[in-house]
Amino acid sequence: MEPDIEAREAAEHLAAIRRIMESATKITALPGKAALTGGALALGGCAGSYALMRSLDFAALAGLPASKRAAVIALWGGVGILAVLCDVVLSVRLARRNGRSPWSRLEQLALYAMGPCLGVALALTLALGARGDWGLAPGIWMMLYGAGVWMTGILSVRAPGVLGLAFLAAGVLTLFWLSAFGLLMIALTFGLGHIVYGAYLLRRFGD
Amino acid sequence: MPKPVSPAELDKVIHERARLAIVAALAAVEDMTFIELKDAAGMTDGNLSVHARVLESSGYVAIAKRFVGLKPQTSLSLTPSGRAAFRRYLDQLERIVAQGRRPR
Repeated sequence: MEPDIEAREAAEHLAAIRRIMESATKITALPGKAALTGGALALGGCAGSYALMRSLDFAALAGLPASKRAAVIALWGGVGILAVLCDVVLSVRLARRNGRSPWSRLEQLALYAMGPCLGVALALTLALGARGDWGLAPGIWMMLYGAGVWMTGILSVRAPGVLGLAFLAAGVLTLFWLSAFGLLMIALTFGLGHIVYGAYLLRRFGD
Repeated sequence: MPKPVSPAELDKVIHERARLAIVAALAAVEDMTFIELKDAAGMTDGNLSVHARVLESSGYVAIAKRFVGLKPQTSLSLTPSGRAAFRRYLDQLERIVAQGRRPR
C-alpha cells in the first residue's frame, strides 16, 4: 500500500522526529556509577566530620580548635574534589564506550548549569565561615547544588530534574528548620540521595 | 523549484511510525543499547525487537551483541545506508511541508 501523507502530517512527523532525536541524545549521558561513588564519598565525609565535630550541627565548627576546623574543611574539600574527579572520569569513560565525544554540547551545558551554582555555594560558605557562621552551609550547598542539577535536568531525562527539586526542598528545610541537623541532612541528601539516584540510573539505563 | 514529492516516493520501511522512532533515535547518536533505545523510542521489548529486525533486514540498522562484564548487551546503530535513507526521508518530508505551504 502506498503511504498517504499530507503537509500537516509531514510537519507532525518532523516534530516527532525532532523530539525523539533530542531525547536520544539526552538519555545516553547519565553516569549512574558517578552518582553512587559521590554518595559513598559524601557518607564518608559525614562520618569523618562527625568524628571530628562530635555534633550534627556545623555551627559547632566555630567552637572547635583551629586544627580540627581546618581538618573538617579539608575533608569536605577532598570529598568535593574526589567526587568531581570521579564524575569526570566515569562520564568520559561512558561517553567513549558509547562512541560519543566526552565533551559534547550537552556536557558543556551541564557544566554551565552546575559551575556557577557550585561557585556561589563555595563563596557563600567561605564568607559565612569567615564570620564564624558555619551552620547555614549545609542548606546553602543543598539549595545551590539542587538548582544546578535541576537546570541540568532541563537538558536531560526526568531523573536529574526530580533529584534537583528534592535537593532544593531539603535545602529549604535545612536552612530554615533543620540547621541543627545539617550533617544528618547532608548524609540523607548528598549521601543516600545520590546512592538511590545512582542505583536508579544503573537499573534504568545500565552502565 | 524543487521537484514535487509524491507519497509513493516515501521509504515505506522508515515511514512506519515505530520504525521511524527507532531510526530517529539512532540518527542522533553513534549507537544505543537496547534499553536506551526502548526508552528513547517509547516502545515495548517485543515491539522494538520486531521492528529492529525489519530495519536490520532492510540493511538500515546493525545489531551487535557483546558482553559488558558478565552481562550480555545488545546495541543498535544506523548503517551508512540507514543514515542516507533517513536523510532522504527527512528531505522528502520537508518538501511535502513546503508544497503544502505553497499557494495552489
